[in-house]
Amino acid sequence: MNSKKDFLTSYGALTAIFLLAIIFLGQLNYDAWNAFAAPTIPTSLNNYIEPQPLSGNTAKIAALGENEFLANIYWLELIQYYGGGDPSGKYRKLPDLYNTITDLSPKFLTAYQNGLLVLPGEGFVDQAIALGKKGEENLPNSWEIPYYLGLDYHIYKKDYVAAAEEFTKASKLPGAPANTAYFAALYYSQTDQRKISYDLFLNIAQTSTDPYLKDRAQKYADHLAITFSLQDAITAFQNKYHRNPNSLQDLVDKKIINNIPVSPLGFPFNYDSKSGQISEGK
Amino acid sequence: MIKKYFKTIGVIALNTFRETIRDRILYSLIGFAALVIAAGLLAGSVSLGQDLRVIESFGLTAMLIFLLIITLFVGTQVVWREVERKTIYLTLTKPVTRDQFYLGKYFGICLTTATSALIMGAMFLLEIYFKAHIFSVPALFSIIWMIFEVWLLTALGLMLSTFTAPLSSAIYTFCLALIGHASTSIWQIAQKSPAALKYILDVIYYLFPNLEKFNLRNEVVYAINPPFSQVWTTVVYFIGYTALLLVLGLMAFRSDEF
Amino acid sequence: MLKIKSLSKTFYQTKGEKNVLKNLSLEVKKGQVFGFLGLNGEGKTTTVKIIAGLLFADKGKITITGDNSREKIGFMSENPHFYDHLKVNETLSYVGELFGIEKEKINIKIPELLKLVGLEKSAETPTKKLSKGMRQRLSFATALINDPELLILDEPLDGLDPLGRLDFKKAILALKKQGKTIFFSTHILADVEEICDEVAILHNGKIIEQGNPKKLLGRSKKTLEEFFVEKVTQND
Repeated sequence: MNSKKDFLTSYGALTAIFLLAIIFLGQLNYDAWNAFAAPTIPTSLNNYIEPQPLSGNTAKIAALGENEFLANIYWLELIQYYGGGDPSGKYRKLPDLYNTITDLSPKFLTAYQNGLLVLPGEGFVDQAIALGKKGEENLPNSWEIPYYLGLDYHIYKKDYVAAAEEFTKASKLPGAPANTAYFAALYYSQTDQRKISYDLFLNIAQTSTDPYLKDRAQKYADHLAITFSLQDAITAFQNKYHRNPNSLQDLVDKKIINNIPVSPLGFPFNYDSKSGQISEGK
Repeated sequence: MIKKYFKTIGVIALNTFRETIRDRILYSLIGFAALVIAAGLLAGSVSLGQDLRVIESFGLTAMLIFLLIITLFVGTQVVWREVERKTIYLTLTKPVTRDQFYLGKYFGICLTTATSALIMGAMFLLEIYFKAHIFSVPALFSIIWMIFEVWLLTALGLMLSTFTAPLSSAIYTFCLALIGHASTSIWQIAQKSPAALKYILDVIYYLFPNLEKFNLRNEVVYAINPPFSQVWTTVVYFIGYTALLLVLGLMAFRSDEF
Repeated sequence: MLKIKSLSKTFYQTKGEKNVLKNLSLEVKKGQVFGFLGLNGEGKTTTVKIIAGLLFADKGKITITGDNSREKIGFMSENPHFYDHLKVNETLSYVGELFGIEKEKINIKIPELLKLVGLEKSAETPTKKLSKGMRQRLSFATALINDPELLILDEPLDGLDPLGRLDFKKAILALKKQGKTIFFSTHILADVEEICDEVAILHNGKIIEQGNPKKLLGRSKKTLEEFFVEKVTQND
């Protein structure tokens, strides 16, 4: 007979109670530690880890063909990163993440759109514009990218020509909202490209099916036509008197025009006597 | 006579299939894969409205990984296990040629991987259906292509296992699978390399199985069907390469002693 | 029925070459029970494996005569192993299918064979739960599934208890009555004398003695065991 076995069979119940007691004590100890002891993992480590995306080319090699999969992993990481809040408030890795994602998945439309909306707000205006240009190259048929890019040019760069160009581009793509060309025309009218603006408005007035848009575009075209004729009158004045008129009233006084026209839009015509130019303003 | 030849292959294949299917490891693998595919739902829900593309890419990549695991751990061991457990004596002492045995083992494993792929694929397609109410034809295509890929890799692993230990065979097969999927990068690097390196990389690119041919997973996200010209060249490539590997494996296996 | 002519086999190991078989020749006639005797590691199994096609001879020739020769051989290997996932009856049915026998015929044959080898109660047992003796019995059954003309058995008595040996002897004699040819290797000499028409003693890769056991012993009053030891030591 094995003595060990003997012990266990004759004192089996006692042994079991003893072991249970040990297990119970261990559990008690753990619970107490869990509840009262100071945390051992430093919270600072837990707080925040900045993403470290691979560069686009490295990521493409590392993906081993699973490009969309890796792009989606980075996409989820980007959402966590931007949604989680950056304690230093700079989101330094945002442009890198958008770039890697769109390198891995060049036709990921939402990533471009999202980047064009998010990046400039965090101070990455140039990176946003670069992302938009990349998107236009990879997704030449998506009106969304030039549309959002145009908005970025307008809001963050105050570059109305570029904004107008992007909106024109967008307006020619399938699915673009009807007012895209209208916006392009508006942007042009804010610059010295008013002739393009006039053509665009006239075109909208002739082709649009939206009666409101049609009406507004016609009025803008009329408004611009008046601006052009006023500008012609100013030129005639300059040729005659070799100076700029002091005001628009000056043109009427000198009989170059009969009266100061009223804009169909109800806007006044702002005249700058120093440059001799009429500018659009409200 | 020919009918009997293939019938014997079929008997061995079915027995191999039954052996792997009755192995509990396979069940746990498929169960785990189901879990991972389902996890795509969770990942999709935090993707800012990009659920479908996340579910599709996560599910397909997970399927490939699990099929590769099955191929590496079942496919490269199947002949070795017969030798190790001496069960090969039971089969080879019957009117069965070495070729029939080898091919039977190969098709048995193919049946196993295809069954696993179809189970996982059905779960995956159902998941997409419930999420987006579409039946994704490109996803079905990419699953079939994935099966071709693991069938090719099974032939490769089986061939390697005729002259190396099963673990080395699994490692070599894994490395070749990595190289096969890096083929696009290898080609791009080759184009920018100096002549000598370009030569080596070109050899690697053309010699080793080009598994990116079987990768339609990126297209699935955009619901793009592969062009017909690519479909048939890929099928021809698959048949040619697999047949070559089987012939090489058979040549080695014919002279093996047990 | 089975003719082996000048068979040679060398194994190349890390320790060096090992000439297992040197010009081995023998012939088994139709209807004979042939005992292939020898010490462990003398090359009995090597010979059997070469006959089975598991090993390749360096030199020599094996001829098996008869119709559909490959189809009409029953084989039983040393220390038989079976697929773990199969039950006893499934194993038999698998082997039967390898011979290309129709399913219905196999289903009739299996209970008969299981009764013959005394495994009728274990038909549904997974093979991994079988004892060594039971494996031996199952292996014998697999060797008989195709109604073979020639039976080649490697150490069939190994692992059998006395009762099992008695059963085996009965079965061999019954098969002999049916006109089957039986070639078996063994190192257990006790029962050989009763059932064998002819024995050959393998030593150092050669046949050192061959003939009817009764005739071989006829001149002396020795047992086969004593005769065997004497011959082996003489030839060392």
